[in-house]
Amino acid sequence: MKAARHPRLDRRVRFASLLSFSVSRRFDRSTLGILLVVPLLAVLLGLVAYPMLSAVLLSLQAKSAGVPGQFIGLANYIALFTRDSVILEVFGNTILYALASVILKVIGGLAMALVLNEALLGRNFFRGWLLLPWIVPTLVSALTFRWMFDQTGGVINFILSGLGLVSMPLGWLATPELARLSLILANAWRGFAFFGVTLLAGLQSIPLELYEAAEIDGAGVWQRIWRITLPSLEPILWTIVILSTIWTFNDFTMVWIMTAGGPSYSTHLFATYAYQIGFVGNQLGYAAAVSLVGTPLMVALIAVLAPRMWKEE
Amino acid sequence: MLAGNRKLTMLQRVVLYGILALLVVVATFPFYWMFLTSLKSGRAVYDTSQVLLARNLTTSNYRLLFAETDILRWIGVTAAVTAATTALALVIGIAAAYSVTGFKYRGRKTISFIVFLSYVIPQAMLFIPLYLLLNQIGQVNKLSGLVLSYLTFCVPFCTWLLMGYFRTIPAELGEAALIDGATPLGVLWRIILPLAAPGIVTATIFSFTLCWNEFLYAATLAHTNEMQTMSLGLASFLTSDVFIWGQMMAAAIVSTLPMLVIFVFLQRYVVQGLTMGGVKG
Repeated sequence: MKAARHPRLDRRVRFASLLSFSVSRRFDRSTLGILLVVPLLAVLLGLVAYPMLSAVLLSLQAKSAGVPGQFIGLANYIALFTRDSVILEVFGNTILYALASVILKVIGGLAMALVLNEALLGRNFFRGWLLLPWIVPTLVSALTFRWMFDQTGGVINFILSGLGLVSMPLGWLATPELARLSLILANAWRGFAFFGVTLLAGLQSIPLELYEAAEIDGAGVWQRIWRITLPSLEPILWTIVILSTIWTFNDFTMVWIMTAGGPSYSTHLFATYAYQIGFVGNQLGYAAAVSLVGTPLMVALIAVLAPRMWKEE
Repeated sequence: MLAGNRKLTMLQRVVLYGILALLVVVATFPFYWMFLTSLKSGRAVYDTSQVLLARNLTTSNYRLLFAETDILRWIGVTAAVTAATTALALVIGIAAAYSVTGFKYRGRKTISFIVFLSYVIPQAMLFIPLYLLLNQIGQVNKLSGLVLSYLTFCVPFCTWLLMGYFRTIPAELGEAALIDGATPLGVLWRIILPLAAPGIVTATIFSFTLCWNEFLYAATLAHTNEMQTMSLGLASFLTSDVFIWGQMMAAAIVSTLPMLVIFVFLQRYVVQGLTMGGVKG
């Protein structure tokens, strides 16, 4: 009651109680929760959702940078499917790269996980060491592979001709088939360790008793891999396979640096082709159509992935 | 473990070490090639008598790299954008993850699903309209514009990762503190953040890595030399008439060093982050 005798102090106390009132009542917990999520929504709506929607509108326009666009309806999409043979190659390449490199990554990753799950000397060290391809910037690995596959000075041709496997240096990045193969190999090299580490974590969660029981029942090593290891890894394997497919779908750096989509537009993915058209060729509307036309593929992948990754409590 | 509790037989050992050796060679060889090339003189690079081993190694590529190119500025630009983006993404991500996991209100499930969607939605679909948007608001060819564009992947990623970590913290801890008179923000500061510290370290590492390695947005948004990031600088070697592979590989090694340092010292967190839903690549 001392406060009542000092008007200024009194005001301060009343002010403080007003504040605490507002914090606990008016300004209740769910309001604070919503306030905390506002910055996130600002970023996601302003910088992700809004551009995505405007991309749809953009794909219905003829538009170059710096000039207002003209609405032309579905003309970009019609041109894409009737006059543009590259887009079919883009679809084909996306599926080819994704499938082929995923197979290599699963083989490499599984080998890595199975080996590192055993009591070998220095397994923690080697787990780290094998992750190096995943750690380096994609651009660095793309440059290095471009140089390794180089026709005249590249080490791949040197080794192959040293082993007597080729008589002439191969133009790895100069023919469509070999260029695609080079991209697949580089992509697999970069990604297998991610599979390895994820699968290793999966392996370590398999109870040892399962193996012991199988052994008592007389199951051999291969039977144990086939009957216990692989089935236990299946869910996690699917998740990373789809994730890696999405990343491949999304890839820009590896292709742009190694081949820039060439030779003669044969190795493009959606991102590189859209970039080529939009920023090299300055046809932004058409480029937006290119980048959106893979959406059904993407939606299908996300629909499979979502129930695996997005679990609400 | 395939052999159960028993010791591995000699044959099993040989096979396992053989596979391991093969994997190590495959994983390491490109680095060896990169490093060796960076130490070769211009003539030695194309000399077929010293492809896998070189005589007369030289550091001249590194000296020329720092003397003749703008690599220090590339590093500066990249470091500034990376630091700003990571700091912002962490603050936004921590707040949002706490909101979604610690509060009950309608729509929070939708929000966590939107985060997931933005996490997997490809840059490939976003970069053209994002360029136009940033162009409209005068953010093209500016550091702040690069930060804004990098937020589009760092924020969903950090939020996604932190939501996973925050969910593992028992809700009772926070509730008990609230009953004892703590404010919700006090709970975040004194209970959630200390307990989720490993998650925050992991989010920081990955956000840093994503920004440091970014190429597509930088290629569309940075036009002048002053705005070039490390990735753009590296790629600019490919625009010259003759490729100077020795210098290019030296630059590649320099741009990899920060990643290596982080990885060597914080490997535990990197592995943790990878197994918790990975990182876009």
